[in-house]
Amino acid sequence: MRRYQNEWILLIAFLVFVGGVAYRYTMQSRLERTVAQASTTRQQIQDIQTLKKVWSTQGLKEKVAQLRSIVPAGNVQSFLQKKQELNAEWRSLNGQQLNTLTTRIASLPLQLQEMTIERDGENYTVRCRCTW
Amino acid sequence: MSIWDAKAPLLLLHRSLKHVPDLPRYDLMLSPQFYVLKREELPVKYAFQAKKLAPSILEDLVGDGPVTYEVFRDEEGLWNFVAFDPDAVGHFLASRGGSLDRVGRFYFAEQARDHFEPPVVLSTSEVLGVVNGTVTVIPAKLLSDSRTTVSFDEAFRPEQGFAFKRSRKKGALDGRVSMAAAAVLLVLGLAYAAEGFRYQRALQQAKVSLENAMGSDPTLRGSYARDAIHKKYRAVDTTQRAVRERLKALGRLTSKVTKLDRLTITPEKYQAVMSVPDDPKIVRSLEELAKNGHLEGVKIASGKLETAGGTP
Repeated sequence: MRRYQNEWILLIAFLVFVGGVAYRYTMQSRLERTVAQASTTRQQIQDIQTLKKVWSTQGLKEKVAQLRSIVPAGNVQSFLQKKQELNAEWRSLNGQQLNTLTTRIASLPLQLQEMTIERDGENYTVRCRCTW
Repeated sequence: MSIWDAKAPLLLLHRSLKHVPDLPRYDLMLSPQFYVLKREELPVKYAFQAKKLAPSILEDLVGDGPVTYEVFRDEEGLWNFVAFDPDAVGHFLASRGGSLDRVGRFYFAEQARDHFEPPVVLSTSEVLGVVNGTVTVIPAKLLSDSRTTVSFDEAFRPEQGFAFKRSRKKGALDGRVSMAAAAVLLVLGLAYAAEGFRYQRALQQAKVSLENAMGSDPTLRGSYARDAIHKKYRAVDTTQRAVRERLKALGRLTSKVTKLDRLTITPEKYQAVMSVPDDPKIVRSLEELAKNGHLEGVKIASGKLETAGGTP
């Protein structure tokens, strides 16, 4: 034991060195991972909050109901609004009414599942199925 | 006195010694046969200073072999410079059944000069005594028969002892080099550990920051739930924006002279037919608008514009 005391001291010092290096790089790696994860999570949460705001359904029911009165009642062929879905048909719309209606539908945070527009002479028929 | 030499017996090592006792530990007193000595009066105060001068003072007395220098002060205050070959001592010990590994401290016979008067018998032909103030091996026949001799015992043990420094030949590392290397490694290791500790503290702060980032919404705390919510909203956003972009692009194509005949659009695909005049200028303009609106499969023929494709 005493004969190799220098070697022992050197070995212990080396182990301390290796331990220090391993500890430092482990901590650095964990920190980098956590910082990257924090950044991703923050970005993701921010994204979700923005999207939630854009596609917010708060007060949407009332706004959808207004689509019935945006054109004269005579043009509304059917207007079925139940739960979170709208099935509607407008007939005999002129160009301006068509523009107003489609712009209004597009501006609402509705998920447009299907929309068809057909022209008959100068009049248009619009069928629309939306969810939210 | 260290724990190593607490109870180690003291042996006198001389060339006439036949056998070294089989003891687990022992201390040695070297006879002058194993060292060279020079006594000088020098104006130095400390042993380490004197030891630095030893190689130059003993230059003429030592050969080329491995030499270790030691110094001690005698009762008259003179510096005693000693040079010896530890390997030679080790080989001699080994030849007599001993081992340098069992040696705790060692001494020079010169340190116990006063005890060698009267002399100590080494063998039938040799004694160790003092000649001209120096401990020397003397032929026994030079002593008169009436002269008394003494036995070597613990009383000969001087106050100051020395420790063997292993040479590289023995496979052991040099003390200074290994200590320096150990110190460097320790300092580096501790520096790395300190840096690691800083990273650990930063890591704790990052975890707190991550907790804060999750906010108060409990549904966003789990990564699976968060990913699912994000994916759902992102999918809706992407497809519905694409649907609206298509509607907008088709709307740009309509005018007083171009009219939409039929349009079907879903989140997956769209198909549109329009009536357009046969005016090449208007046709070029429509083609340009369709291209800018990223409309696919645009065909203009016989007064009709047709376009169909998917929504990205």
